[in-house]
Amino acid sequence: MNQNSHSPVVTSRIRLARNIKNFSFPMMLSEEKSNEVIQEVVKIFQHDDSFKNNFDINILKEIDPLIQQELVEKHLMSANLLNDFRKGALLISKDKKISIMVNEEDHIRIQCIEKGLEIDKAYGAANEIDDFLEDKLEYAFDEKLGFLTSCVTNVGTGLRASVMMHLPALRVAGELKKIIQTLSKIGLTVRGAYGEGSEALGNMFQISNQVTLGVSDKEIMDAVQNIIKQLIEKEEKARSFLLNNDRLLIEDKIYRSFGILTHARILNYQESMMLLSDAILGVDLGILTEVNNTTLHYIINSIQPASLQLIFEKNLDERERDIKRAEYIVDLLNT
Amino acid sequence: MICEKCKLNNARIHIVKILKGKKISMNLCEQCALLYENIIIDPSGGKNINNFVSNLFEAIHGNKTVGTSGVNSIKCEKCGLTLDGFRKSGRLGCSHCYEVFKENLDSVLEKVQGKNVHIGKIPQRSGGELKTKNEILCLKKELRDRIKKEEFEEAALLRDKIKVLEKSLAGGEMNESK
Ligand SMILES: [Zn+2]
Ligand SMILES: [Zn+2]
Repeated sequence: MNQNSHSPVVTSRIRLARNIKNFSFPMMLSEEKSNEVIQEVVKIFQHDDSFKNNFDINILKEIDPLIQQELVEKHLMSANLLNDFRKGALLISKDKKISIMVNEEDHIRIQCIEKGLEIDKAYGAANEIDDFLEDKLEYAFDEKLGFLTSCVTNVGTGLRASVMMHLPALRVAGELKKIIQTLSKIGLTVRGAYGEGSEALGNMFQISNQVTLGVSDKEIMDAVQNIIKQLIEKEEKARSFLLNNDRLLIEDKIYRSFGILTHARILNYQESMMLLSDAILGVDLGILTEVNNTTLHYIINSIQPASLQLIFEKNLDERERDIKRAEYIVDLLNT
Repeated sequence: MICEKCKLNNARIHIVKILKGKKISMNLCEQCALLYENIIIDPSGGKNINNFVSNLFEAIHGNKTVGTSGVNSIKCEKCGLTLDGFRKSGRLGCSHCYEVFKENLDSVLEKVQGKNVHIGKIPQRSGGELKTKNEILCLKKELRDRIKKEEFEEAALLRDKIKVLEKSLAGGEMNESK
């Protein structure tokens, strides 16, 4: 978190879905045809000097399964791409901000992630890649329906603008449910950014637009941006309410969590995320000064199974992972 | 029993929720239950979105496509996807599918998107013609303004521009406009 590191906003993400004209969508492509699509895209990057040097090209079936999993954990690609990994490829920019999935649900999925509330900036970068590709390929585009996608939930702009937010106070206040319902009425979705089901580990939520047709790219981004600003305000209000209500109780909870994080010997993923959420809140509120959010977010991105095994360079079963996770966190927080 | 939300369809789904210690129960049709549950929170991280379209499809069209010969045999000749395959996966197989399954798609599109005309980004190449048409419309509007203001020199320049652009469009249209 560079600039406003105490904001509930973690990252902004833009995703553009595109397909190449005259190829069936990935679902109906043979492995052979899928490779042709990969070659079409890869060729373009290899023939451009600035892009060639700025992107790593990964043919999915050629990379280690553990590394594939790590890429999912770090949000550089979707788990969906792994379902049919023999057909897919992944291009990642050196700074890891931009990734391009080939043959996920659509031929091309351009994704750009920026720290903080930077929807426009993320769109700018994704849009640049889009223009660059479109100059060399012909997209599946319909005058009436816009960019054609495999799923009708993406047709039109193919644009998904998402913002990841840390909303611990709103969750404690029990206001999330109401907010989620209100958002759904105006075409936005809310889901947990980590974990399965509705658990939303670490109180991390992903807020994104649902509608992609009949609205312009800018309208979509403005709508998301507007709502995020309101959510920031609500979360901050809820935080000061908690503080004014019983500051000692909050301080106690945050220091207990930090105590466990810095001293535990066994930590499972769920518990770690809960404790880290408390710690981030502690830093945001100025209660916890022993650590900063950059470190805490770095930990969040490193403690899922595949990432952890790659850090320790060996296969670990569940219990071993919980032990190594604790070791890793204690180590990072005590240095 | 009739659905409590849309008050249209048969309510076949009973939802019970505990909200702030109070038990709330609702009788909804499949369609409203989906809108109530799945769209509101999609906790699977989008993994269920295809299921969602597939379920929605089912909710709207029911099972009427099964067993009734003729309807069931609809198939995209370009990619090979059948209507049944579309219903099960909730995904289309190629651009051409949008035409093949148009009738079945319209209602799903309306539910999912609300609107049906794209107004976002237009690709330079595929949309080149579309862009030119839009540009001509803009120039013609400006032309009328100039003439109104009796700025004939500028108007003449605009007229030339419009002519060049119109020439770049399909020849057939040119003949008509003369
Ligand atoms: Zn209903
Ligand atoms: Zn097709």
